[in-house]
Amino acid sequence: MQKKSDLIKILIPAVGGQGGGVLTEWIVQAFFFEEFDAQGISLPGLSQRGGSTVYYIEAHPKPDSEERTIIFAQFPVPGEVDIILSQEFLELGRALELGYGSDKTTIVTSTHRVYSTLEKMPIGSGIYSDENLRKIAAGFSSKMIELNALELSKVNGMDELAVNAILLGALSASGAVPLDKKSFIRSIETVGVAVNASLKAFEVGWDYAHSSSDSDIESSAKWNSFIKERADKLEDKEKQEYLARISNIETEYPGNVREILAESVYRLMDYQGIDYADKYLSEVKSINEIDHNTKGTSYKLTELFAKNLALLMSFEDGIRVAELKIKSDRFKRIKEEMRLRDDQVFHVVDYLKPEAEEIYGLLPNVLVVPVLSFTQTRLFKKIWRRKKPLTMAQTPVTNSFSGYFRLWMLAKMKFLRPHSFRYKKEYKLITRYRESINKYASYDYKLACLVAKSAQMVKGYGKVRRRTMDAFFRFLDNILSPLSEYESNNRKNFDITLEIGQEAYNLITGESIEGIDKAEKLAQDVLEQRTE
Amino acid sequence: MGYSKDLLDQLDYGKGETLFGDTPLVILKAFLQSGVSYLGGYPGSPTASLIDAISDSYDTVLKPKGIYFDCSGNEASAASLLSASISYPIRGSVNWKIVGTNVASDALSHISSSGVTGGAMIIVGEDYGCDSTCVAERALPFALKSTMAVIDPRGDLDHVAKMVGAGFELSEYSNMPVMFLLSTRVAHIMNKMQCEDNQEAKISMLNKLDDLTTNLETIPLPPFTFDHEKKKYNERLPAAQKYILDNKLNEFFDGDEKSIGIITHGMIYNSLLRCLYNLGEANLYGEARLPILNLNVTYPLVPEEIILFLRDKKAVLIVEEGMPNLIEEQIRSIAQRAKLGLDIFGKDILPKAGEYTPDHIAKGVGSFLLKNTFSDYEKERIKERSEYTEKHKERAASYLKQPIAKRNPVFCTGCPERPIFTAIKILEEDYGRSYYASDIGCYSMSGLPPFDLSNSITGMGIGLASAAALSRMANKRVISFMGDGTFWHSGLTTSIANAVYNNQDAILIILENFWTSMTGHHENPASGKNMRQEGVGMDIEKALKGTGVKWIKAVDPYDLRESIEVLTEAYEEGEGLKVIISRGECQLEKTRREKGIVKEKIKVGKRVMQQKLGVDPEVCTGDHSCMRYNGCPSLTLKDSPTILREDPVAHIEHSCVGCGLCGEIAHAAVLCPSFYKVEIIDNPSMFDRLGAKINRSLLHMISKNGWMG
Repeated sequence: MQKKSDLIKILIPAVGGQGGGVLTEWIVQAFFFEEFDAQGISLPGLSQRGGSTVYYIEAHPKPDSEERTIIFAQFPVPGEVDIILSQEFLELGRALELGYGSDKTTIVTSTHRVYSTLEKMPIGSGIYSDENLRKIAAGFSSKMIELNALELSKVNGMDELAVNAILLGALSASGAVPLDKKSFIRSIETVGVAVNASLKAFEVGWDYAHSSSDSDIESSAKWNSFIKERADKLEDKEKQEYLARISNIETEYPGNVREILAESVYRLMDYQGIDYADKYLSEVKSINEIDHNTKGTSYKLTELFAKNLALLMSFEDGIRVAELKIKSDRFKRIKEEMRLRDDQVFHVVDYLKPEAEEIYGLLPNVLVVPVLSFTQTRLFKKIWRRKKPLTMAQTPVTNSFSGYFRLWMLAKMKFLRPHSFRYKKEYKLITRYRESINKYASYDYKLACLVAKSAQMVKGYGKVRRRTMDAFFRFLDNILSPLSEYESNNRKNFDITLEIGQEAYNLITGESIEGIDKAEKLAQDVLEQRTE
Repeated sequence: MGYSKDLLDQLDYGKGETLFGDTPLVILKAFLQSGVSYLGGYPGSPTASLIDAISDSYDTVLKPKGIYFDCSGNEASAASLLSASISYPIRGSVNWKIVGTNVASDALSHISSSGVTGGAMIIVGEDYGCDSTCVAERALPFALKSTMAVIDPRGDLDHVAKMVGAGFELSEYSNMPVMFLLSTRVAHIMNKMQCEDNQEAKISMLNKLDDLTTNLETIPLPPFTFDHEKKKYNERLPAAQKYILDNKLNEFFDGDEKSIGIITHGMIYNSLLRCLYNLGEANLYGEARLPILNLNVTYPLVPEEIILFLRDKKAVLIVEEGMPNLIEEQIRSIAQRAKLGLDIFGKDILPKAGEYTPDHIAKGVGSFLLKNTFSDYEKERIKERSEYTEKHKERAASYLKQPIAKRNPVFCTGCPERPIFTAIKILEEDYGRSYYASDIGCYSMSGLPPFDLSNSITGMGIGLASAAALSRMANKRVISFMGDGTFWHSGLTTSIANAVYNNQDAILIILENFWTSMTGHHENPASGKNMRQEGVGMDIEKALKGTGVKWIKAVDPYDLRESIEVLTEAYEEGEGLKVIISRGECQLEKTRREKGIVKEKIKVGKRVMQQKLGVDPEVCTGDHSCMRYNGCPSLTLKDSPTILREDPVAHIEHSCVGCGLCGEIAHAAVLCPSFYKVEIIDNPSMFDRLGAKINRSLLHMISKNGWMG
């Protein structure tokens, strides 16, 4: 009988349509160049449209006698695969979840992610955690060589499909396959797909797998560059003001909160001005008191509050959007992202479609309120039969004078913001947010943290923002409030509120905002069961 | 992907040369070695690449040899092609996917009744693992009821080639058409093949028939019908059995342990061998402890051969993939008739459903071995090894608390089919859900996230017809989707003619993208040319008018507003069939073709404008509404530029082809101002440059930090 190690089994998990077929062909050919028999299998069909797919290769040294042939299998067997060469990180996880890895498996994988539709859809983050992928990889392999092949291809100015040749290079360098580097190179030349680019990419992968680079910047240096990056974008006077706030933050707050505050102060100065940023800092300070008075905490509440308050205070109104759209580094970024050259001319066309509320919201509150109450009357509804909200679609060329000028004018309206209808509306939310945290902090610290975190669900524009805001209020009023009331009257702790609250939060952010209906039902059911 | 010239040049290799390629190329080479005269088929997985190999080689290889290639309209047309072999010594082969057999069945029944003179072979894509849109069904029962021989090759390219040759001989010797099952994994092997010389076709487009015979006896009409039935069982089957036996088409592999044995078939042999290898019962050369009979012809079985194998055994296991387990049942009946008193095991200890992978059968094979092993040590060993994989799989599956996120297939970047589903999704907010009758094509994916727009998939060309009763009996609007390939395959008659004839109240959306894309971009009657690259003009709109459809509107799918307007109109329209043709070329095919042209234009200094879409990461708040209306692979996520936002924001990758849908969605569904479009002009004209210059100097005057763009 042969030694088990004579048969080499390579599984290639991949995202369909990303060139895995060519990668398979390269490897099969390389085996043929060196006294091996080999067989490659690809899987066609619907999975090639960006679904998850696999390729499989078996190879064995040529039998001694002509009469004997190797019987290859067409399916990989869980627990029996020698090498997993993964084109994408989640697909590695899938292969391992199906049992293809074992303590005899060498993994060569790219760590870049191609997000699946289901990961992209939830209103919160649906991205599968890399940490889990690393955990299962560690559990089902003897050796793992990881590289971000997509990043490597970008850094080296190659297109996305170079990922395959980079991985081939890494596989060659890993020594997991008993083939000479020359055979792989000859194989790329023979197969004849994008030969020069592939050879270059092969070397990139080979070099990378051979050397390891650690570039941990010291944390103090990191902090300094973090501040500098922001301060440099401000004008001299503002810069001084900013740095003064930073030195206060450095003395008053612990490490994990500092970066958030530094970012927030910069964001709010840019948004409205230094007074506005100071207002923010004083609000954060009041919540920070709670953390101070709670023994042995990690300033979690301050951290969550600081993050979300800054986001809520810099709500995206028309003025903000206009300002962001004409920022000079925006065009620089676009040029880089689109890989534009100086000899090309380009136009940036923006898709803007504010709703009526986003337009009149900019007007002073005193003007809007009476008109709005008129629109609620029966008389108005008789005149105005349209059901759909009014919108104003426009597609300005933002890097042309006329387009830029329109947005520039709008951005100049910033001084009106604190008197606007929208500002008043957003401030109701902010006040409610702060008050709720104070209220729940008096019940239970963890509960306060959940409230502080839950403001992340408020986002979007127009109707999406209205819906998410509504969901947030319902989360407070119909879920946390009745549950905590029940527990404060009947029990000593807030375990149920915490558990159901967290569950409800997951329901809301885990899919679409309509999850709030399910969340309310859940809270209601729990309460009914309890009070029966 | 297509076959390169280098690959196709190997088709002319002679005896002693070695070809490198995949299964379709090897099968085509085997056709040439068998002197085939005509080929045809309808593309579908896993035989689609065979059509590619045939059509790619048509001009340079097949046509010069006089071999006819029929770009068959559907499987029924392909099957009827075999009629040429009924009365004349002409060899031919057609191919399709497993469910295509159902479409072809009328022709197949008649042809197999008449019998054939020349070798006739049907390559059926036996996709029992369902890697494409199909159902888990076997072709074997079909062949049995129509009396066709069935070849099921092992997973080895030399063997596949050999069996193609043997198939033609068997067909001629027995006067039966032969079904050649090509399972998904066997269809996609990449390996080498030892070539033989090609044979010239006896009759071809270069060497045409002069005399046509009229032989009424071959026509399945009374009084000859029952003669056919008699011939099938008294002449053809016995002839086939004799041929199989004389030429040793089935393989017997001896082993030391004579009292037990295993019978299996086709590629399952490879899985079985690997399973035995893992159990320590065989080596990689196929030398096993117990004898194995591998059936490369699964119909008809040869009783003598089976009896010879069963005769001196105590127990035999039959490893047969799929239900109904006709091989097992036939072997049991052979054993019973021969009064052999042995134990036969099969589906009683092996799984009834599922692909027979080496690990899927391990437990069953192990328990068969256990029943016939008496040493305790051996028993322990077999038990442990046969259960190892199962345990390992369980451990891996439960290793992570949160299962790995699913990844379903999606419409490609820039796909012209996607926008119509976006439009329907947006309209759902006002009109509620309708009943969505889907069909077979890329658009079957409309049933997957993010759209979830599919209540039924019933088969090819049948979507609209499948909702006929519900159109009258449900308080829901009926909307059906159909691609151009499906339209010409059978949709025109089965669905549209039927709908007009019955005055069905429904909306039909025809997605005309000019290619049969799902199978790998095959030409179809909408393409303007056939697979032989000859121009043909077939017009869907005219065909619709011809059947009497009154309400026909065409839309440009990338104009989302127009699509929404036309859809609304159809929603509000009274009873009857409303047809919307959404016309946009398959983006993959378009990009592939135009990429080179654009590059060339830029190179020679012509003004070229291209566009790409982008998302401003600072403006995006990360609510991901855009994702729920879209599902474009280039529209994805990345970390927010601000550390304040925990959730990722939208991001458009460089693979964007600039179809503009995401921007249109932001407008049509009133989502957000994050999207922008960049028009990039290569080799700008004087006018472009002047405009840019004027803009720049004006912008310098008002922008604070200086104009950086």
